[in-house]
Amino acid sequence: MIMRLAYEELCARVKTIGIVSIVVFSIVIPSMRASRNVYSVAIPFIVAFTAAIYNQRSTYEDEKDEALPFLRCLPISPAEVVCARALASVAVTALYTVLALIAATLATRFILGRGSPDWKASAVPAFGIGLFTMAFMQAVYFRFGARVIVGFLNVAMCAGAIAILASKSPVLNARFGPLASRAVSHAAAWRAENPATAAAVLGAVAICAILATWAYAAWALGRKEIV
Amino acid sequence: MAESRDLLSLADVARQFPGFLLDRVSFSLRPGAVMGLLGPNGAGKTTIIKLILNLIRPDSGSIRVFGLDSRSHEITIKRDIGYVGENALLPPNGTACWLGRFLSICFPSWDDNVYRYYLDRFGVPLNKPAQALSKGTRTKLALAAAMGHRPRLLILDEPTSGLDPIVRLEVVGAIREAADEGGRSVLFSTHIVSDLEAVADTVTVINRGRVLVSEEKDELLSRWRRGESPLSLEEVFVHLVNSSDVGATREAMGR
Repeated sequence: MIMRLAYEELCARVKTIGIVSIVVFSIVIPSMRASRNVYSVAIPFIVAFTAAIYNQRSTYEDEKDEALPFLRCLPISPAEVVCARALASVAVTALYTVLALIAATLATRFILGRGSPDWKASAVPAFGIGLFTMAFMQAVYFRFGARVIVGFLNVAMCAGAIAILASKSPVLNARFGPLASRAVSHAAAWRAENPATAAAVLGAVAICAILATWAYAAWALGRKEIV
Repeated sequence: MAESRDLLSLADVARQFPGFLLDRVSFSLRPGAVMGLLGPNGAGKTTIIKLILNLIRPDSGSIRVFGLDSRSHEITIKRDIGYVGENALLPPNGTACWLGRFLSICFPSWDDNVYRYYLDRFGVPLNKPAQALSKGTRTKLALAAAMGHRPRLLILDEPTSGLDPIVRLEVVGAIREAADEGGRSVLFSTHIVSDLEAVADTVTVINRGRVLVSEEKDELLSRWRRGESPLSLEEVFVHLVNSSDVGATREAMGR
């Protein structure tokens, strides 16, 4: 049942997946002037952003098509619906991660001639952050509806823009720059000294966060009233 | 003991929304009976059906379907319920073929022959998406889908609303046939009284969230007469609703 629901969800979203795939390339290709190291940081954020855009469009379609009222009238539990959505989100996130890495590779190797981006350093964080974004936005959708997703995305983009502007501010950089770079270098040093522990801790935190968010999504859908 | 024999029973079910109160609704439906849930627009018919389907939760009271609590046995209960809503909830891009395949996974007792029988009978195209069908054909598709797993209880929420008389007669005929088949019970919500005249065994009239009357249709009609001739169900319904409005107005004015 869950597999079938996940398959139907993917079939219903083919158009959205295709349109958002173009977004992946349109973000990655213009940013190809970045160095190889910057890609390792940028690709997870690009995947998270595309996952957010995908969710915005898919939840809007979901609400317009009255998919949840249809499913709730059938003998399908909220947990089954959420598991199916989680499975579909794994497939979509994997696709976007691969697309982002392919776009980055094409950009660096054939356009800039600098070799390939660090796949190992990019792929796992990108997949993890993409999965968390998917879970988070589905949970928000089940709890508050598709309109809140749009508002949330607008606020997140504004916050991102402000963060970028703030990072360029000489005043803020003078005050917090050394503090931030010290914290980052401490974390990097600890990671370099304990690579296995760092990977295990980060992996465990990411898996717990993703599972907890999907559990919340199931709870929110179970409590959702179809008025 | 009597309660456990009922296929569906609501006891003192209340639910408040801003500007609307469903006030301690109680009624029961026996196996094999067709109940007409009558009420004007906004009376609370759809709210009652959503409460039965556990799409919304009651503030108080209990709902039992097939003798089981509707909240704790939601999935078991829904396997034996066929539901047709006023707007025939169907995925817009889903065809009749797709719907049959999908529902066969959801319902263990799905019978494709029954589904195909109703599709043929209603002339529903197999490969046309639901959004390309007329309202009447969508309702027929929803009814065929609701019948496909041979449900013990058929819940119909204003299925004939907005349909032309020809399609309405066709749909009502199919409902009657479905009810006659194997002692199936039907809860048929409508504000079109004429649809119920030939179909309903029992009638529950609600207005402004309150049950005005819930009893056998023949008993109800036998109590309402103009001289020697009995009133029609429509006349009884209008009278009941109007008199309940007068009562509510007086109550509000403190008389």
